[in-house]
Amino acid sequence: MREAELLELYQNRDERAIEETMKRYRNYLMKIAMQILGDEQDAEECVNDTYHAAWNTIPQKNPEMLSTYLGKIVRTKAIDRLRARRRIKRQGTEYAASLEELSEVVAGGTMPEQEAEAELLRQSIVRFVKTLPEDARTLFVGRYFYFDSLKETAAYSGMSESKAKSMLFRLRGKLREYLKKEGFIV
Amino acid sequence: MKNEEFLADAIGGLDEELLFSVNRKREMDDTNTLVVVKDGTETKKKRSVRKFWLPLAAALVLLLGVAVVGAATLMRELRIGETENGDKTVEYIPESYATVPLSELTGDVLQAPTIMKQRLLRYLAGETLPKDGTSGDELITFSVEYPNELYKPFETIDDAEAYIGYAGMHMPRLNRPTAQVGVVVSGSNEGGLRGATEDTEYELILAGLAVGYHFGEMGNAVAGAVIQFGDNYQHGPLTYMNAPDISMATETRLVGTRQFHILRVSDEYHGAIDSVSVYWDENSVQYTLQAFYQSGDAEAAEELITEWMNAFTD
Repeated sequence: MREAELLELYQNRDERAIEETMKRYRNYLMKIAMQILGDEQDAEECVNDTYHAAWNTIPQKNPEMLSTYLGKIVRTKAIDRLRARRRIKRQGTEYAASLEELSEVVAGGTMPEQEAEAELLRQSIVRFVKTLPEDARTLFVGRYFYFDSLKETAAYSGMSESKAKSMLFRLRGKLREYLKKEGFIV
Repeated sequence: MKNEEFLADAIGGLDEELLFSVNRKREMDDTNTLVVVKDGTETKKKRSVRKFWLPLAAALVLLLGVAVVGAATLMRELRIGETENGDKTVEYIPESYATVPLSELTGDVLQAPTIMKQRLLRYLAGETLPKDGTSGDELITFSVEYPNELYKPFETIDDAEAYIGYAGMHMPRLNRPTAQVGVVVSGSNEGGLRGATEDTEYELILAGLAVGYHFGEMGNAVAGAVIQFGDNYQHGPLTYMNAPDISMATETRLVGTRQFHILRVSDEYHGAIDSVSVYWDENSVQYTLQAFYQSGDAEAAEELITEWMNAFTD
């Protein structure tokens, strides 16, 4: 079944949509959830929540690309679950490693806590990512959105692990400067 | 919440369009650590994830961005591999990695690079391009992230073959109604949105012809052919799948002068849907038939693959 047909099932409130989504995207969603949670059972529950969230939000949201829409949902749910349980079971997950790297970007700064400011920050990050060359953008999104390992991210970005590491380091510096310029880090 | 968590949240709000291209690369990467399984060998492994298939049209995309290998005479075989996360990959190794020179094409597919570039320029000029073929533009599925890919639907296999115009290509004709006929055209990876568009190079690197057949109530069948152009062969068509409990078996079958490779997959987890795939290549065209069927339709599936193999004529 094509993605467009699957979306049509959602639009028509056909419950086969969930079954088809499970068949097609479960592995993809599990991987994202596992990178964050590091626990299969937690990840499984997040993925199940994602199916229901998709069912409840489509057609109102009307996503153009179901795969990325689902990916965003599962990412948010997995992070929320981690925080809600306060298990601090982060060590050893790619999410933990990515956060540690991102802490370099915001060291000494104050991030916006108000929703409106957070939206401005999101827009700013989107603009930043759009300015990146394709290989750098792939690295950035792979590492800090999908929380893929450095090895995996380097592989599908077509470069060596050491080059990827070095490029990510430079990207973090560039992002820090960008956020300073945008006024998010004083 | 810590600062870095705020930042991670903000990154979580990236546009879906930005995520899409990266996600495709992530999917493409699941092709490493190949292990050869000889004909007649069965593999079976428990998995914690369910079945996931990439249909032919999607599989064509996997030809892009993977390791380039040189032309050589090879032994036809099916390579069954496994990715780090446990997914299975199946790759057909053709007789040769030779590609087809563009000079051997006579069809309108040669215009595709020009059309792709024009569409990109129209997009960059602010025009909203259709995401489907309803505008009357025959070449559809324009993607900002992959402006160098096109899909063109046809009424008949004859029309689709004429569009490519390669004398060495001949899709087997089956005496069955077709659900869909189309050609996927891909250009070089340089055709990205980023960078100076004047410098964007569009080069035809492959074209794929796929024909869909209705097959039973649940399953479907797709016959495909892939041609690669240019200096370097890149990668054969890949299927990748995962399931908690699948069994795979390969065999070869001699029909006339051709020795076809067959892959059968049973999904014990789902219990109902099996598949059979058949592979062959000649004149640098790789042909595939893939059919999904309910277990009770195994006989009908066998008839289908037999008809397909017999439809190749000398």
